[in-house]
Amino acid sequence: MISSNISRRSLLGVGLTAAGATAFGLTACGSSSGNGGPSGNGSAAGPATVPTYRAQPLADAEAINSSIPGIRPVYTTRPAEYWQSVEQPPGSGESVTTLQMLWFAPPDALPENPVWQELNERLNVDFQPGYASGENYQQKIATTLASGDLPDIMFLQDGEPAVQQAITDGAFADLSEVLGGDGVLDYPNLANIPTHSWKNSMKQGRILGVPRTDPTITKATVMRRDIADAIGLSGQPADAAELREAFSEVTAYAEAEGLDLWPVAGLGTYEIELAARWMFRVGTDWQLDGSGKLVNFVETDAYAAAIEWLAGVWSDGSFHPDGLALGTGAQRNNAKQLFMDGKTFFEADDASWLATQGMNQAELTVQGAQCEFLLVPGHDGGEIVVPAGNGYWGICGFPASVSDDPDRLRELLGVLDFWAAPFGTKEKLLLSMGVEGYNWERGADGEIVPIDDAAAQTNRQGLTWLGVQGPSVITLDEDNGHRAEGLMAQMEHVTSAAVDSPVLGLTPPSGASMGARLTQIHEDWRNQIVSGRSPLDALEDWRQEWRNAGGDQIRTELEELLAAND
Amino acid sequence: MTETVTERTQTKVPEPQSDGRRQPRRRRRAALRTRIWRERQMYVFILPGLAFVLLFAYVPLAGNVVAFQQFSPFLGIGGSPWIGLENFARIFTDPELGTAIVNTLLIALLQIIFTFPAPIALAILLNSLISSKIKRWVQSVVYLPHFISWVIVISIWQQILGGAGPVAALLASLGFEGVNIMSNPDTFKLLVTAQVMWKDIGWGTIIFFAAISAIPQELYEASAIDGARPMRQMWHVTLPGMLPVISLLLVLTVGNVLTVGFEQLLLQQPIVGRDAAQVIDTFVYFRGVIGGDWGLASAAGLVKGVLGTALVLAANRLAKRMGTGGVY
Repeated sequence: MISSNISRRSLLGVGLTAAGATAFGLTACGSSSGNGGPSGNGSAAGPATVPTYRAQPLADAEAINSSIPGIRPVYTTRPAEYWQSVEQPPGSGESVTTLQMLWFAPPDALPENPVWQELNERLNVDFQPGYASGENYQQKIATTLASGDLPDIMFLQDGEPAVQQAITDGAFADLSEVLGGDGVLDYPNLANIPTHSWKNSMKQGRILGVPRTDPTITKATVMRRDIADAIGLSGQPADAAELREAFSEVTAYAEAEGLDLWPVAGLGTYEIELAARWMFRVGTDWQLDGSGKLVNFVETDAYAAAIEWLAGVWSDGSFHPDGLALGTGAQRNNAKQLFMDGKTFFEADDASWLATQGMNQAELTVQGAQCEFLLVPGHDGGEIVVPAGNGYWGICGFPASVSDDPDRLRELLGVLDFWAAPFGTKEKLLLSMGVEGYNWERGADGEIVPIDDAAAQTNRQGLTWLGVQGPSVITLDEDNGHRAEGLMAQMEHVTSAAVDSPVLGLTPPSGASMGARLTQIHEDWRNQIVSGRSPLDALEDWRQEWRNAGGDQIRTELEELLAAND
Repeated sequence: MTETVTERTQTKVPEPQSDGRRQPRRRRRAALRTRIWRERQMYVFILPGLAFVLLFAYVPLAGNVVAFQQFSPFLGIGGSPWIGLENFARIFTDPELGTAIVNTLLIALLQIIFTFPAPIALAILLNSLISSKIKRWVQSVVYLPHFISWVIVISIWQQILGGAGPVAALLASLGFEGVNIMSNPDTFKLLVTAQVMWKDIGWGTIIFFAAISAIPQELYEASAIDGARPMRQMWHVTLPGMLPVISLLLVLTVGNVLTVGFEQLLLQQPIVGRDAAQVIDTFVYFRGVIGGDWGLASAAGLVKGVLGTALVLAANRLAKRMGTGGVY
């Protein structure tokens, strides 16, 4: 489940824009649309109608579903039967070029790659993927745009300044007419994308691409149950003080037992700081105060309390000695590894990654280790407040020239429709598991058994991350099936405490260019204050620097956008 | 040394000018043309290198015009609006640039003082080893870190010198609790210098070894006859023999001095903070590349290039004045 890394990296990279749901931005530039709206193709037109939602059938398999909207279903078995959601191959045999993300090793060329061959056949296209890695996306998209030779399908991280600029310059096709309202029903899998993803990904009211849908909250927190038992914490911590106390006791226990064990790995924005923000009910990045003015979370008393708590945890010695380094995006994987190696007590990450991999790894590595979801309490034992994200991460768009060719447009949307197939379909089976006999085979009861072949895995993974996907689900295998209840309890705990940002879906023009600087200011000051290099009252200097460096400008721009929306 | 001087003197000797100026000049030009024609096959070998330099060094220089534009990649240089010197004005009014410049200069200074002489010392030290087997082995070992990427280098350093590493454990056992060399902003610039030294000291010795091996053996023999002991030989024979190479490399280093290790600093900046680790390159990266402000990034790059050129010229003049000939 690499998506948590990706989102985080990209968040840090683009200054917390294009948040998706994996985490929420620190500045409210965390949403989507372009600087001034698409020009050249439809900017004169009014806001588009949001595509109609029409649910596709759910997979025929055992699942736990929540009554709270927006929570991913948790499947504990695979479907016995897969159904076909795309009847006719969408393509006409022509080539389809892409710019997509490559998170893995590059796949083999077409002649040696059965997954690629199968894709070409099922889509009836000559699929020609182009790749950008997580590290070089910014350069790649900028040079692609500069070349003027745009691929047919582009994964657009719409928080990237280069992408925002190109949106303003009219580089991408406006899909509002074909996908708005009931238009989307021609593509049943696209109509199955939740409304919030469409709504939040529109640019100044226009649809410029198909969103990569995500739940609005994906983060979860876990702890080591066996260690909690050892220090006498039998249930969940009741409040912030008890959690801090538990951390201290873990340190004492580790020292007494001579263990390489720390309560918390790094001072990460989307890990322990996130939990502290939930506890102290800091809320969304931007909030409306009583008088209707926008206030940033940094300016709130609740955040000051959260920082004070973190500074206390630090002074207790509850962070790994390299806590500042382990809290950076570049070392996120090291921090995760510490948890998987059984060396940390607390961890926060994507719920799906924790439930399917992280917890299991820790239990396999350390004898007697047991992991459990940690239900973060309110700081006073009351409720928590969890800011909801955008519910999408990036969009798949086409070059503007495609608008003039309805047949080509239909073909490309058909390809995206194929990719948006939900769990339980034959299309999704191909995209997520690969080709029968090459990536997987049928077991004795007809169940799907993956073939242990790393090369086959690489040949699938690299090709199939196009950007668009069906609504996300979590599938737990045999080893992790027993976590289903706990996972659901965790997701309900946070999702029921979710609040929407008043500026969701709005993008201040300066957001992209100032985001990186504001993130830097944030992480810098937080690290200084929490690690004791600066006193707590330096928070006022932090706020001042943040305001001067663009915080106030973004506030003004957002207030203008809000006023325009009213 | 002696050979170099002789060569230079020879080329500088003016031709006899008995028949006035025009005659010999024309003759010389004709001679050059004839010589080129005579060696035409040799000149063909220059072409790939020349094409490479033109295509990848000189043609991209034209891209610097972006510094005077509000550049959009999609619109290109032709379509982006021209905004005069606005990008330059923005750079110089930015309060953070001051910190970045000071940090850059401090790190640069430390690197010239410590990192530059280090490989010279190591080369001399290794040269004094008698066993060539050990010498080769040490050489190979010290070359290795050069090939490790910065991400790995910093991870290794953190494993060893970080708060959970053996060094911190050793210090703790001696009563110095909580020492974390990797996250101390006060000593960060020294840390950066030490990292560069560790990574590149071995690689840097290669060229100095070449310089040492070019020193005629007779000089050592002569000095030994005169009663010079190894230290004296190093001072009076080895070092003067290396001087042209040292001054050449120093001039080149000075020209590059404003580039103080982008990746290395970018990776460690979140740990120690901007005040300690923001340099011109990271400033440009955050404002220009991450912020999508290509015009501003190019303007900062252009300024850096101009400063670098000025530094090279100054260092070259200084080297000439010190009598080592300079680079050109």
